[in-house]
Amino acid sequence: MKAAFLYVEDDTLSREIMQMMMECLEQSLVTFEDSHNFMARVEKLTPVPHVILLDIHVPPHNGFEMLEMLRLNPAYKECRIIALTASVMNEEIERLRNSGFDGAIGKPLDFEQFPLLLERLLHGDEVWHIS
Amino acid sequence: MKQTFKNFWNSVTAVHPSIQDVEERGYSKLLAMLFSYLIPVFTLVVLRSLLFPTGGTPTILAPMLFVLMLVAYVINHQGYSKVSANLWIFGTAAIVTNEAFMHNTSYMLLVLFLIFMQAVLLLSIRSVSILGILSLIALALYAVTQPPALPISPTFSIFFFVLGGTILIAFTNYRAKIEAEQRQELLNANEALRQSEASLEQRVKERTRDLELAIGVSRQITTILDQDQLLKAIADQTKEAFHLYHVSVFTYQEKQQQMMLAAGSGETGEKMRELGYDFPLHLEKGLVPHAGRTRTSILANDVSTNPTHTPNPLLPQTRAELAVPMIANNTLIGVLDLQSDSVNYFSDDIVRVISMLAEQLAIAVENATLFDEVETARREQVAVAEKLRAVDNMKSQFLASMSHELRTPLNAILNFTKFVQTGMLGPVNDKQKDALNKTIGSGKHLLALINDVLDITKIESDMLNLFVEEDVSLSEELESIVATAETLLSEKPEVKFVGDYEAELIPDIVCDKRRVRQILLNLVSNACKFTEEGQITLSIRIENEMVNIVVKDTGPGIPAEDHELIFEPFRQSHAGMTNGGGTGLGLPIARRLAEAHGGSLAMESVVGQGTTFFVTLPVASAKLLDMTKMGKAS
Repeated sequence: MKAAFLYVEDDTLSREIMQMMMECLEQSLVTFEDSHNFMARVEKLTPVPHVILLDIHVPPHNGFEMLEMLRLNPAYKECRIIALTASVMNEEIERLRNSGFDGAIGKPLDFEQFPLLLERLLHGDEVWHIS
Repeated sequence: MKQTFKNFWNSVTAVHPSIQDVEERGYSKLLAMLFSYLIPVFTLVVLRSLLFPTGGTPTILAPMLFVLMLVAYVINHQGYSKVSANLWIFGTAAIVTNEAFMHNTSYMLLVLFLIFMQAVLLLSIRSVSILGILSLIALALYAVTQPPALPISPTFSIFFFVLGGTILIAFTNYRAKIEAEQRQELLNANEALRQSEASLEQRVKERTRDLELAIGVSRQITTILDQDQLLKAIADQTKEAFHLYHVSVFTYQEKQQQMMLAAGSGETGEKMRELGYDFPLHLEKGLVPHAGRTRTSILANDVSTNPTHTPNPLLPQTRAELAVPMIANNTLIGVLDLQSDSVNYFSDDIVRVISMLAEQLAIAVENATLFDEVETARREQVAVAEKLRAVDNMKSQFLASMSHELRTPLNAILNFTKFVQTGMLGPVNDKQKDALNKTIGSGKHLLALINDVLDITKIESDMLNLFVEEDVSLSEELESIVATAETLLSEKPEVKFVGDYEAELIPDIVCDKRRVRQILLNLVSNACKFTEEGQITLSIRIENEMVNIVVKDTGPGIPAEDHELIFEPFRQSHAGMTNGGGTGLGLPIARRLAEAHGGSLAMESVVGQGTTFFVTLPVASAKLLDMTKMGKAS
């Protein structure tokens, strides 16, 4: 099953890896390197992404702000929004949960586990894979 | 005998208890004594006349007098002494006059004169006058109607009565004059008493007013805890309440040994405070240091004559000054200095009241000082706590960003290497693949190290926060751990993994799922790593609301001297080190995580036989449940 992914990440290498992984998994991926005009740019995307992966430390709007913008727009109600973060302390994960993310995947990405996680995501499960 | 007579006499002359007045009691006693003498005498006289009659017309004089005195005695005995005296005097006068007329015996008139003398002693002026008038009428009648009888001639009689009358009148006048004087004296005394009562009342009133003022001042003041505000209020309110010209409050500075002007009434007070009025305690001049030194009130009711008073150009109208020490718990707090613009303003009463007020004020000032100290200490504590919190925050921030910063490059290292290693980016020979595998292994080790260092740092700085959830399925966790163990043992067919538990009997527990998994994974992977043959057993038992998890291996075992060492950060047993791998942090972290859950981690080991780790975790402790609520609330 081919799905549309959006990945917002300021780290070039991380974007490159994600690109390679998605190519391997034969999924379509769009990447943003920052969050300028975030909603305007998201709205231009066709099709509407099935899964949006958000890094938390992205300028100028961080992951939480992007999440809020997306949640305010009913068009993205069905969208799975996942935090992809290298901040993995309990307090930070708790904050992610409380803010309404559908899941979180810790960096570094687990090469073996990642395809399974995506499968579960597309199946509609919440995915909290930190270490 | 003597005593008996004395008792008898006392009972005969007893005064009726209804008579309260001392003078009247004496009067009544006198009458009783008079009658008590006369009655026995007349009893004998009457008895004699009855036993030995003299012939001729019998006289009834003695019996009549006898009856009269008996009656008068009884009346006096009943408490009517005035009535008794009047009855006696008038009665005897009437009987004697009657006797004189009946028997024409003029000597009876002499007796009448004696009766007068008695009357003057016993009766009131008015009664004496009436008796006198009646007697004069009787004498006049006697002189006119009766033929002259021997042996007293009418001339002598007239002379006698004129002389007697004159003496009587003079005596009566004299008595009246004395009585009038006495009455006047009594009136004067009464007036004096009334006046002194009035002035006493006035003083009580003034004293009460002063006290009320003092109480008012102290009541308003004792509620103020801010010291500056308190001292200013003391100055202003004392000034107002006692209509003073100026009031200053000095506080005692023990270190500098001086009296410092802390507050003054009105704008002058402010001005003086700005100028700064500090008096060394040993200063010769000035009432304030004097009062502080002697700890007594110092009064100058007329400053112009007082050598120690120092005039203040800011207070030109000061005429009287009073300095009262403020002492609380035997400690000199300061001096209250009061100035009036009228000489002799400070009466003893005011001084007394102000001294009392000063005591109250001293306590208020001391309270304020204590409050100040406590408040300052509290503020300092808060500041320190805030600083500590800030440091903690910084530490926590640093850890978080360090972890973040290290993980991002690791993401690239691990995953690019993995892409190369899997041959996705082009063919890789076995040698290269092996090298890449080692790179990945090192990268993973580095990642583990980052995690562990992060954990141990948090643990050591008490910043470990559990993310506690309810209804964590322990059997699910075990499943994934068993899976991991089996993967790890896939290359060690000599080692068997045994799960000694019934998954259905394992309850859901309250815990930090990730941390519990971390504990178990650590123990199981250690066992897998060190065991070369035999079996690894994972058994679970529930006992007393605690989950007991046992991980038993048949590895090389740990020598006794290392049993505690392995739970210390960055330490590994010799076997651990030779076997390589591991950060040396896994067990210390696992033990602290178990303890953070309210559980424990212990071990038993015999070298050559194997090692057993015992983990206990509460099924659902109140403390952990509390933590889930806190988590939900935030």
